Amino acid sequence: MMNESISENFTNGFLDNLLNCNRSACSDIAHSYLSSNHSVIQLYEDVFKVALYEVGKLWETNKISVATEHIATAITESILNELFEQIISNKRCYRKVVVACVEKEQHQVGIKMVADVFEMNGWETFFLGTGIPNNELIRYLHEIKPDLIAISLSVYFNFTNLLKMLDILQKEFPGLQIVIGGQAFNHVSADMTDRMGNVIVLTDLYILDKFIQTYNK
Amino acid sequence: MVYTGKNKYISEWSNLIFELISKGHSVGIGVFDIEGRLLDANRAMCYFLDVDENLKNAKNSFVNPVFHSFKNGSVDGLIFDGLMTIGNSGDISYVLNSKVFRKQGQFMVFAEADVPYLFKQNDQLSLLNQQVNNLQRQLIKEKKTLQFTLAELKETQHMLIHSEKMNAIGRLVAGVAHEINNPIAFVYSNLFSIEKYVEEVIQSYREVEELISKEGLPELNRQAAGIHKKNDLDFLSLDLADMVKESKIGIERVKTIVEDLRLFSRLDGSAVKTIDLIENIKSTISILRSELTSKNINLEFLAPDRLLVGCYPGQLNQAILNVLINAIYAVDSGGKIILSIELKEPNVVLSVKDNGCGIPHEIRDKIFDPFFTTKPVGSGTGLGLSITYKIITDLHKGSIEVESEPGEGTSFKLIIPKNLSI
Repeated sequence: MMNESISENFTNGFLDNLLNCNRSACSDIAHSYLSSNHSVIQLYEDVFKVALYEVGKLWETNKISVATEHIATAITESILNELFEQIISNKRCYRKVVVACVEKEQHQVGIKMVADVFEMNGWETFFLGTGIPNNELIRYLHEIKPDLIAISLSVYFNFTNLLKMLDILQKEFPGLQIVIGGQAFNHVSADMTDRMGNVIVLTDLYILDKFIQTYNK
Repeated sequence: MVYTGKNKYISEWSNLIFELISKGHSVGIGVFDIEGRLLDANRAMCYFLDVDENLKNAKNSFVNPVFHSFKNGSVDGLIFDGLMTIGNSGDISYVLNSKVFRKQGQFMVFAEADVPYLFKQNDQLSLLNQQVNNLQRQLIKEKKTLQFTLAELKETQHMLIHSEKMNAIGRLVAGVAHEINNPIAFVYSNLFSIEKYVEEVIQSYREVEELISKEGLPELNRQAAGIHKKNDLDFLSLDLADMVKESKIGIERVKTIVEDLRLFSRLDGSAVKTIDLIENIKSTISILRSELTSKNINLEFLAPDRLLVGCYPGQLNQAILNVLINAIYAVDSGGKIILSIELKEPNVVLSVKDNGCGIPHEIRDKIFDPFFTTKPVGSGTGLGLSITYKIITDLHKGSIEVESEPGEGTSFKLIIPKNLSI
């Protein structure tokens, strides 16, 4: 309970500074959260994710503009970059993962955190971000030959694009393990996930981390 | 597409629209007198000029065009139409689509933000920021990759230097070992004869003494006893036997060192064979069985049932035996050693992990150096790990990884190709 309220304080402070466009204050909060015995995954899940979901809600309820949402995302991404060097594990496991967004999806901060969790576990990550057309992705996968592909879907509206993407991937790479996740899965029902075929839905970064550790064994 | 209708319906809302514009943020309207004093302004113009509640003390002004230029003509009507910059010539500049009208010595400035353009620009900047962000991430990743590569290169350089050092020592010890091998051989052999002869001489003397004693010639008997006492023959016979025994132990040890040196310097004396590595290693373990039992050490052997490997079997046995001997030395009674063999194509990894005393940080760099030992004087030659190193790296083109934590234990990984190609 006490830990929850500590995280809540950090999250609220982080959110306030995101909305005030104060990058350095956000960075200080992130570093101080880490130095108070929290892991990077806790920072991502309990501070960044919660704050960014709140930013999304504020936009949905007409409280902030898209421009403010863009700045909040940009600040968070800049802090991810600040931390990126220290989270890359020195113990490499020589496995490769391609991380990408669903075609036409514009939100990449979530999949960047996913890429980071793979890096923490010694994987070689290939981050494609947003705006990659399916045919480009296929070409890239042939070139990289990854062990796994991780796909993010933030906006539920793009669910049909995800189904289309999965269909193409499963036909082109029948043996390739696909994992998916993202904010949109808060709205996806079990029978809808059944339509996605042989994929693994990972609902948060803690579960992703456990999945990777089991996979590494 | 731009709608060019008359806005008939909108015009019916003109009063309300005027009120909204006067409070809005995007269209600035201001009326100035001929000297540039602000007479009236809506909220947006107040913001652009940054004036106080009395429309005075403006912190910003017309930067381009300057207000003075409006006074050039005297005709009423539209006197400026274009982009206008209001700001402080420093950190603030608002660029606005503007029109300036003149009427009866007053100027009305209408300045609006181009909202569609600003929205578009915001999107483009966000995209650009995303791309810069991704590029930064890529650079961090590449920097880290370069750091890894540099560390690997340093390690390789270290190994090459070490390997060269080992080769030089190898050549030296080959010469020394060859030269002292023959004298040792005859000293070793002679010692066995000396031991036998000494026993025979002592035995013969005792027989002579007994004979003298039995024959009952007192004078002779007394003289013999005097010689016996004078030369302390009891002590001599005992000490002679001890000395011969110790010399034999000494020469055995010299022989072992010379054999190790010869092994170290001539590791290429056999041929590559394809063998079942598991069977081979089991025979090595059996050599150590009594040591393990006497120290009550639990040796766990984890390996597949069978693993065919192309290698130098005898030397590989020697390499793993040396590491195991060290592990046994490092663990306390009741300790644990795990020996595992794993196929990690195209390599085979032989791993020896113990929960012993570990290797102190300050001697990490020396453990593969010839003659370096932490064992008490006389207990170790200091050649074990250097022989292992040479067998694995030179002979089998493999590598050795060591991880150790003082007080917690040590792990040696001997990595060799599954099929050694010569």
